[in-house]
Amino acid sequence: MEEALNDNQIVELFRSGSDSALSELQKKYGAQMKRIAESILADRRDAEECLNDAYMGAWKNIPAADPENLKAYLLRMTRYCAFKRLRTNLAQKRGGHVQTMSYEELSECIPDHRRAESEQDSGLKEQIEDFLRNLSEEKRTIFLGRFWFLYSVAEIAQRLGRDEKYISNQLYYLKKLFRKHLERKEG
Amino acid sequence: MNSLDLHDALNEIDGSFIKEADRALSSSPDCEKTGATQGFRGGRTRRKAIRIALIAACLTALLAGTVVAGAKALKESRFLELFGTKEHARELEEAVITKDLTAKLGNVTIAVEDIVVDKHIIYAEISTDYALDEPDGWLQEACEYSLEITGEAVFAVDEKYACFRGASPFCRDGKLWYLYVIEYVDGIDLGHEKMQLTVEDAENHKVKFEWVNNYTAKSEVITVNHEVDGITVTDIRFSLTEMVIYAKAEQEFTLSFDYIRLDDGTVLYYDENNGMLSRMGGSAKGSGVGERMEARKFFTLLSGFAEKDSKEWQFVPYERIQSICINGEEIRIR
Repeated sequence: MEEALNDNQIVELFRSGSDSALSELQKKYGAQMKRIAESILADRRDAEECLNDAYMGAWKNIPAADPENLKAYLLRMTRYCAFKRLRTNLAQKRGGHVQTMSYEELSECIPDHRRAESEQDSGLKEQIEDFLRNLSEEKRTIFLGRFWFLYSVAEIAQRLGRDEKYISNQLYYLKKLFRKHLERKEG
Repeated sequence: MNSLDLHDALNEIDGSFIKEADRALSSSPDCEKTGATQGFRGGRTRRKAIRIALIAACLTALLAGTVVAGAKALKESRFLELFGTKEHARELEEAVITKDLTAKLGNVTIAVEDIVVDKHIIYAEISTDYALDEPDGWLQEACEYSLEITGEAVFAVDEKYACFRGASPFCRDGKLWYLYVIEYVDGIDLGHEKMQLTVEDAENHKVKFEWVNNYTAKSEVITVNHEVDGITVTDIRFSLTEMVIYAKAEQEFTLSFDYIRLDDGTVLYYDENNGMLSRMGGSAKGSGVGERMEARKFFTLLSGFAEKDSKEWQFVPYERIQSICINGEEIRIR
């Protein structure tokens, strides 16, 4: 019985420019990429176009990037493409296509006095990493499960073997903590 | 700055965070959709992923099963009692290993009282002296005092095996306890692995318990290769606390489990009304692409099997299972 290729084999297909590279990648990670895209972009066509962008990005970049973790690389690229498209949609006031979901939840964490800041807020990545570093593994997983992997509360609960109420409570606490962290860093 | 800026920055964070979270969150749904096997050990990952999700669902549902479990009186086996099984099981008793690893966490004494060992699953019973005004059984509501527990096997070779870990709080004799389950893929034998379990409270008091396993767990794989309605039941894998039925077909299918027959002729059904059990052993659907249609159906042997129309669940020693009935056809396996 045919099995999916391992990541190294897939990367090798990209390196050799094989036609089957994208189909193997899609077979293995397509559903996860699609879920991320659809979590960010409510419009199915937008999500499909975003996926195409991500596949194209993979085709162009994987040979040179030689990603250590192919899955994370692909999901990161999908997130990048989806948020880029979302920005465009918002700029074009295609607000009807914006889904109310976890990306908006993060806005609760932005301290009021930082809302007017430039988008090019240098050091934000480092602040987030600093915040994550000081969390326990489970809390990091819950935070990233919600805001990076964009899983629903129910999905996180199921995956971690916790009840939904527990995850909701943790997220509530983590958002408050994150907001405080951003305030503190600013101060 | 807006939430998109935060997400952009989040997208750039160090890959080690993503890897760690992905590992913890690894589960089935996406793999199910792709129909692809994935990951570290050839074709096993999809099975692993399915297993992890099902067991995770099982634990989630365990909380919902409080009414049943909590109503049980104190029985010979308090571990089985947690699962709502009243019969004492000698086979299981042999799997209970007393640990008595104790530590103080703030003002609360924590102890890994014992572990119940299976080949690739370990159930750790962790006690605290935190008093609860609750009946014995799973806790429905979040407790004011709670612990964060993380446990795993420390393999000599740095392999990244998918691992399901989960804690469920329960009340025993007026005290807060946790059942912590560590489960690896069925190719892993935890019998002689080093284990570690970290317990942390909300005030960041933390303690790490460590031990090295020294047990030999039994397990059995029975090759079946029996076709029923176009579905081939390929094999059945048993360990002390679990039965997994593997099947495949050329197209999408649903594997319907009817009953098992024991060596004395007793027929036992799986109780689908029990949340834990219906989730754990619920309808297994074959999914995949082309010839990849495969399904696995998981059953806990700890509870859920009972005679027709009975709620007297039994622990089932797997050696006693003579036949299984799938999609209406009884298949003799011994």
